[in-house]
Amino acid sequence: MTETNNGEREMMIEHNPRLAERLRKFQEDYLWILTQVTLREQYKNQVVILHDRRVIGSGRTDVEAKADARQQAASRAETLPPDDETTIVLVPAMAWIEVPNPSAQAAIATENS
Amino acid sequence: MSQADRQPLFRTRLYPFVEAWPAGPGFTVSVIRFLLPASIPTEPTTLGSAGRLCPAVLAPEIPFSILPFSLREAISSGVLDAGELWRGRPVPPWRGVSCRVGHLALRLTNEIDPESPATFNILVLLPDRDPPGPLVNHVLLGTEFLRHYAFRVLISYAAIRYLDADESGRLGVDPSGACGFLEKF
Repeated sequence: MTETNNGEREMMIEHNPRLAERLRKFQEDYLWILTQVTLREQYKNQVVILHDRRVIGSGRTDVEAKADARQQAASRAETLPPDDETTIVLVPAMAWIEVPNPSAQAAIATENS
Repeated sequence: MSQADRQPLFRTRLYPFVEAWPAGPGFTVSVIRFLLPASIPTEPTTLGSAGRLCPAVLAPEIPFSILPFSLREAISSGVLDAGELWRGRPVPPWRGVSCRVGHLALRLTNEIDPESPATFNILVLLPDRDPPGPLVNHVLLGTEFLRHYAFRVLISYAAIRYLDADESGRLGVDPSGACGFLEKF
């Protein structure tokens, strides 16, 4: 099904259960790595290849990460998992929300009361 | 009939994501953005392939969507030149870096029909290099994208789950809990 839009670019909705499942896996893997503070610090701004929530290769680009994964697998005499069982992620650096100092907030509240 | 009475054609979840915002040279402050775990086809013409993970965040404060240089290098495919569409008009820079114009197909899960993902063709600025300051590792979805597809954006700050503050008082956000929706009618 294609929904026409008010321009040349349209939204395309494609019935494709296999693709939908793969997208859900991408989503789960990405949200998982976002919750992994240690991995995000270790691999920040690098491309990693995930398989079963384990980093099997890393590098500056996907090409470098794949080469690293091949090398690591070869060193363990293992074979690489098929591409469609892996997720390639550019890991964002961890960021935190700065909050006002709680003791200063308490002092201000006392002054205002 | 109002939108409230109709079922959207497309709906996907938004997740909270903390990002460093460059306040000035060497000085950043964090902001909460809203993330869509998306993918791009690895070959632009092969819509059936699973493609490559390509996260995107809503950025209504910027006029055009942006595919940052480092992400473009990392995913190494999927962008088509769109210079013809822009011929004769100046292309705005991004954070001081000159840009070209391209097209990117972005695929998203669709909660309305979970077995039917949606693909959107996005006009993107392609910076020539990474700007100084924090790296951006996702597509920024600007006003042009949100306006072109006439999306409805629903965000609940009350739905954001926070992690325990660390010893310096900094707060983390749990990015795995959805806090909003992007919908198209």
